[in-house]
Amino acid sequence: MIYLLLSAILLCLHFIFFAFFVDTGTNAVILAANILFAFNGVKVYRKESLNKFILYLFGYLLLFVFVFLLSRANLLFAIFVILYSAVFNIAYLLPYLIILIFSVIFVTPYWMQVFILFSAFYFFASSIYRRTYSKFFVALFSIGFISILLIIFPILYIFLQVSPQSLLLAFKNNEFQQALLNSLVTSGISTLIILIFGVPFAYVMARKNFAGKGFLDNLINLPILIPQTVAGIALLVVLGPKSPVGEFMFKNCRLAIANGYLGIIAAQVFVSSPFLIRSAITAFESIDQRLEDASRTLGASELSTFMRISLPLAGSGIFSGCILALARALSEVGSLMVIAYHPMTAPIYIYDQFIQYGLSEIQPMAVLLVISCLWAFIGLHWLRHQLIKKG
Amino acid sequence: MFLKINGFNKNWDGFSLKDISLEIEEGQYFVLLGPCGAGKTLLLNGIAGLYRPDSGNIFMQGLEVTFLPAEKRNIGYLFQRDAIFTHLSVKENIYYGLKYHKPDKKYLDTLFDLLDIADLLGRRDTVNLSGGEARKVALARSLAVGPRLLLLDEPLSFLDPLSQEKVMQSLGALNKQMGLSIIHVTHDVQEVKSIAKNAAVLFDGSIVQAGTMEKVLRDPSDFLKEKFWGCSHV
Repeated sequence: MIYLLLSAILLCLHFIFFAFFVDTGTNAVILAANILFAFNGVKVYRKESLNKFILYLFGYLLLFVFVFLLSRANLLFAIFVILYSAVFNIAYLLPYLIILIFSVIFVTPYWMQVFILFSAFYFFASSIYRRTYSKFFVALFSIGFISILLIIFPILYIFLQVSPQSLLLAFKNNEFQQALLNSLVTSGISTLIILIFGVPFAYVMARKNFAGKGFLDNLINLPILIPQTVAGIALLVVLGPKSPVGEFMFKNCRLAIANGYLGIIAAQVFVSSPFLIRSAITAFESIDQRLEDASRTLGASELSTFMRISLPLAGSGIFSGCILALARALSEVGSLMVIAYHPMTAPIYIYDQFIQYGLSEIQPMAVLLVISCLWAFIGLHWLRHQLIKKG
Repeated sequence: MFLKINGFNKNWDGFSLKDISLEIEEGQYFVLLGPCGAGKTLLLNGIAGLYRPDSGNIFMQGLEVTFLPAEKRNIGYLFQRDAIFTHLSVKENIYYGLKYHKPDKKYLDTLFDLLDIADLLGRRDTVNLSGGEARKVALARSLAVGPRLLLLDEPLSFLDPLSQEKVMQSLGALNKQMGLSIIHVTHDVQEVKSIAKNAAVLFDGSIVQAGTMEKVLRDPSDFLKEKFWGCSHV
């Protein structure tokens, strides 16, 4: 009975009041939304407290003022009213709707990005609060989230800009495929080289004191300090076609280092070695020296101890270092531009296309590169997890 | 003489072991007493061969071992806090040294029987071992290789009284029944009063008293009289 009455009132209201503002079609949609709102309001009034009912009405008022009157977004208003009515009773969804409404009204051009980011923020922050009941940590997280924002926002923005079709088109591009393959193969080889030579070095650095250790320790970090272009120039001077090494290689092996795969690998090894070596040193340092001593007293030589105790225990840390080094090698551009522009790796190819064709042309490729790298690293982390589980 | 240490010197930054000389007979239960920071563990490491002394010699069974690396000395070592290999199972821990040493099966059976570790051998991971169990595993591991001498670094630390008693029983049995020579390092006279025959007192890197346990207890050095024994390893 009450529902019929409500419907009648709303119907009259719409014919008299809303007709001044909107056309008939829109009016009908808003009417439907309002009826849903009213019916749900009756339910709220009967089942919930009075305060909650007032809150329910107040929410509608806000929507009406901001969306309908101020923004003049009529259909949007109808959609929001429908969503609001539907979601009001589901407490954990309501904040997301509020975030959605705010982002649509106030930051229209970026509404989707803002909505995703703030939803994510709310999700994390509420989870932290529910587990710790510490406002201090929520406040710290809020501050820290800004730094995450600066990282995620550009990536998210470019992701939402490209269509799946253009992605597919970019992926079918042979040059891009070749560049991606170049990238994966060279960075894989680079990581392997650092692994083979860096891990023994890291073990010495972690375990023994010797004259000049502090100097070597700083030397490891050098590739991080040096601008990449300078690194490229230094490598070019040593390995370039006119250098003794370059000349020798070209004469005897018919191999060019600069502008060849060897050059790419040399540059990648140079820039990414600190990440693996540092991780390995930390991993070895975290092993209790007594475990190695115990192994020795049980009859294992230093080599056996390294293979049976140190390496397995440091394995997970070294693997993390490999992932870091691989990531660094994959993303290298600066030194490659100097020493080995060709054959092109994926980041170089994207830069090259950007210079030639401009921004819109390379967006899908950029996204594709991010996706492929992301998947590679998710896969590697998963693998690491499995290895840890197995021991 | 079974073990003879002669004028052993080693200098680290800020600490040194000074002119240490000790003689230990075969089958002896020898106690090395001393407060925290006296250098007991460092001396044990030196005997085990984990570093080279600056000067002095170590003889075992008449042969010089001063420059022999740890893995060739065949000395068992129970480390403080056990040093269990966490990435291996209990069984792999205990059998770790059998790749390099091949004691006969009867010896292992007797040993495992004595230590009563049959049920522990089936355990897969080492994470859930209790303090007493971990100590047993570490002890079994160091003894499985059939060492000629056993070094114990505070073997009762971090154990509840019941486990302490069990460990002391095992050690006594090892010494008496199997004739194992033992060097037991501790800061607590009480725990070794009844079992030890000979003792030495180490203070600030030097041996300040050595002789039979009775003599050390009856006529203690100044360092023993002072109550320095309370110390906590954290």
